Amino acid sequence: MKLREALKLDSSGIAKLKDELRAKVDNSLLNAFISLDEAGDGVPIAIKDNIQVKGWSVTAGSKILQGYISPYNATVIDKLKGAGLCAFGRTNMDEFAMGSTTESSYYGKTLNPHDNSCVPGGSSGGSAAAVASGEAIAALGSDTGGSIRQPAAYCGIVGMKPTYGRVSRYGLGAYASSLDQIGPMTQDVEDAALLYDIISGYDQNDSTSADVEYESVVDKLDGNRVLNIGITPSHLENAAPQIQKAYKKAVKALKDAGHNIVECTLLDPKYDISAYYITATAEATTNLARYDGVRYGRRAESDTLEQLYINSRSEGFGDEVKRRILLGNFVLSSGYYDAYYIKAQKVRRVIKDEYAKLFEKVDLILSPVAPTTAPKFGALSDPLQMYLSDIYTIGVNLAGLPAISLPVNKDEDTLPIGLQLIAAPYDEQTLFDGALSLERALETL
Amino acid sequence: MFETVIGLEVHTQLNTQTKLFCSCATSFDQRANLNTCPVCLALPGALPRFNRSVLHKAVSFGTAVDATINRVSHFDRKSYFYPDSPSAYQITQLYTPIVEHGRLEIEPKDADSKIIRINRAHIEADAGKNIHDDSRSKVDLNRAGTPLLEIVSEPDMRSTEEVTLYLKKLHSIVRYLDISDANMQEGSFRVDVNVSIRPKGDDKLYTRVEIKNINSFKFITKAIEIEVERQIDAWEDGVYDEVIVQETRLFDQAAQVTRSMRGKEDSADYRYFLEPDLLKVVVDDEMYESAIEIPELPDAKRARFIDELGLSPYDASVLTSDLYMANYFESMVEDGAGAKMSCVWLSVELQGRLDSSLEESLVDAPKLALLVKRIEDKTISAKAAKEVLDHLCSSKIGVDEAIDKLGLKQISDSSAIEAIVNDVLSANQDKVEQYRAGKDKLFGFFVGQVMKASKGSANPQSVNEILKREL
Amino acid sequence: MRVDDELLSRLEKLSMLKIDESERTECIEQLDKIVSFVQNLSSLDTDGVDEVFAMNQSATALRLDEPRSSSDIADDILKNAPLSEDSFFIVPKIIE
Repeated sequence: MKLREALKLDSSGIAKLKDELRAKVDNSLLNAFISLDEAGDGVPIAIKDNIQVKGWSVTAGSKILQGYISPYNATVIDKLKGAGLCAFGRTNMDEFAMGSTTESSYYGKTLNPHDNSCVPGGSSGGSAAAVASGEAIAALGSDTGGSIRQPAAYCGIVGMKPTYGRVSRYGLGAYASSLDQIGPMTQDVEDAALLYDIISGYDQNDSTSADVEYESVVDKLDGNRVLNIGITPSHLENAAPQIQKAYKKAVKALKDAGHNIVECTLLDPKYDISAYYITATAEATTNLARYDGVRYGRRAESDTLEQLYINSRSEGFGDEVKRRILLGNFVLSSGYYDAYYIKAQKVRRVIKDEYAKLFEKVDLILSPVAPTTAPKFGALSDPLQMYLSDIYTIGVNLAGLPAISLPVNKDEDTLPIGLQLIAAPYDEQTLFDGALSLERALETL
Repeated sequence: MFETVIGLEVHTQLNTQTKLFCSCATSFDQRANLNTCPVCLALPGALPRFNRSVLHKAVSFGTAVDATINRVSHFDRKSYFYPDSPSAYQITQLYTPIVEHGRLEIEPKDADSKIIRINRAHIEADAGKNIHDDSRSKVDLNRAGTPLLEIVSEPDMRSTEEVTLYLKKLHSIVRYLDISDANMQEGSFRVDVNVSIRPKGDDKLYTRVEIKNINSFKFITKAIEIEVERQIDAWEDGVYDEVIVQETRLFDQAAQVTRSMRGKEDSADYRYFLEPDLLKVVVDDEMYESAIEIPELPDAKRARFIDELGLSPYDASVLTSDLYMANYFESMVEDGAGAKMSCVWLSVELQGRLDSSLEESLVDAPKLALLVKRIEDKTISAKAAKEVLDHLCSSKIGVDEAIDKLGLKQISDSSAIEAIVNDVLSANQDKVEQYRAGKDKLFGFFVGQVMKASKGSANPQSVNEILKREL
Repeated sequence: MRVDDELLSRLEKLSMLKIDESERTECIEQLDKIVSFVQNLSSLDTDGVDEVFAMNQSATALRLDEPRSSSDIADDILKNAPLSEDSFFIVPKIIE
């Protein structure tokens, strides 16, 4: 059942739907959900475990938040309520959203529904797996460096990251403040547009929220617009053959649908990776400093105050989180701040300006999401290797652009492949229009 | 031989209704952690929202000290772990403060007036409170997030006198602007002192030592004296470089020494960087125009009291040292009471009778003004007025009511006094002749007799005049 | 720029973390690899580029100074806190 169909259900229909979902989750081995918590009536939406829901034990996939019960709702949760939806289940994720495979969750790994020996992607792996397997009709995820789009691609669903500031971050456990965004993860493009409409909008509680007039995307959704679409052949060199093949297929589909294809070049993504990991870890190290066992969450055995901090944090955080905390403090510490952190901010500006220039010529950019299909468990065990797998998604976050990942090989008997469309800031309308067009074009291919 | 070089950092708590980055009330409750929310508890997902009143007050302060107002400034994160700092970073302004390059003029007693430069004033959040028990500490975050304005001077001061004058001036300005309660004992006006010494004539800056959190002017002076002595001793003993290090020390009032703060030497790396949860701080035209409209400041008021109201510099200083008193005085004058008399009756007579604050006194400005007018219109004598004032201080009674009640109405009517004088003179004819023959001393006797006969209520001036005439 | 044990110790202090003895070598290696990689930014010319990057160029919104009070959230947090008493959060004695 699609989200837009579920919105037409009456209360008994909704109750029946919830029963079905509960049964599916109970019988599932995927571990997409950490816990199937409930929060009111309304059409059920699965929620990534880093979004505050009042009364839920929101752990961000971490041991350190055990015992914490959220006393308030994130703004997006209130918006869901206002539209007749409700939070239904906490989905699994990489600890504190740091990761690309959901393997770093303290609550076990999540399996890819298409091939249980493969990862679902990360960090919103649980949400992706839930929607892909029918355990949720739609879900919310968060995207800081690709964490919605990449798992959506690996699991064969639609995942969208809004322009930075379109969706309130109030109530989203912060990883990297200037990069995080909550976004929809759905079965198709139209559902994503619908859910995006519901959760987006200026929020006073978030000072980084964009104070722009609210506009519904769904109302004007038009898959027939003719658009200028930029392609990036040089980037493709880093992708596996199946990805390249899928990309070419999508380009053909877009051409056939009447769009203009324009060749573009982007900055070498190795710079994106560096600017991202410097910025994100710097912000993260300070955002995670509050997890200290003093006021909430898990406190370790300790005799002195210093021990309380060190033990609670060392025992409570996983390896990847610790690594990023250390790295973040490195790039901010005196002596390194200028060469690393400040340099990264300048590079970010360069990257953003570069995209802005491109969008003078094109309406959308078509790009791969990941260099391969979903890897096997344990394949990306080397951190740097894992970071490098983010090459296609990361620049989008650095520049704050809206982007959407959609599956391009739905009918094939292989692991899913997703490609993303990227739009100019605040141009979600064009993004969804183009995505709808591509989705339809691929269906008719 | 040696010169003392002093700079001051003053943290003043702004008197807004709500905290700097959330809508929690700033009033402190008996119950710990009552005024808290996701932001000041640093829960996951909480985000800061900047209080507009704080910006307004900061701009007003900048105006009052002739500083540059940075129309665009930013917030920064300053990282360190401590239980009273729930997010383990303080939001402050390091790189771009709201106010810069200001100045304050002070008037030392036996020297020319001097300008003390203010390097910057910036906005930052206060921490909570830790209360220590035997084996544990208790954390209360009610105060966490309260807005502070940190005012940093250049190391322009050279003596404890200059320090005291600067602080008193700063304190007065902040109170006049009504941006802070500025109460040192309560912690809304905290002073950190930076002290170094150098040989007289040397213009280099040597090692500076910070002394933190001294909560009275008296202790500040003492702490500086002790620390300077310590530094001079080290210099003279040839161990300056080993003993005097850049560090933070606490003033131990009981032992009369300054003490090194344990663990602070691991020079904290605060890793300042731009606060990503907030956008740039902009003072728009509307806010700017409003905030630069500041009330008359102490110096200007003092000058006006001297020039327009004819008060002495000393009296003017006394009255303007406190805004409430200054306003009280002015309203008395507006009511028609003479300036000089009002000054005396307010700053000496009433002030001397207060057992709490002037604000809390039963004698308000209209009342005291009326009392002064009753002296000026000769209804009562100054001596009688003192008695009336005593009464007014302890009971809710009107001035005229009190005068009647105490029967202190002065007899000023000349014919009435003449009558008494004549009675006294006729009863003392022998003395009258003695006086007329040259015994001038007897004048006092006649005055006394007249006063006795009138039960003290005769207007002494009139008595003198009439007696002189009759004798 | 190499990451070594001394640097790791300093970072641990700043992070309030302690990496297990058995994992230190690996941790240092991984951090070193990552730091070496991100140094690639130094080859980009960024002369004249603004140091301050803001996604949103608007001014930060100013909130009205009006108290909103409710102790619900505080009560909930205190109730579930690792150690609280009389509405205080309790920690081991802080030595000043």
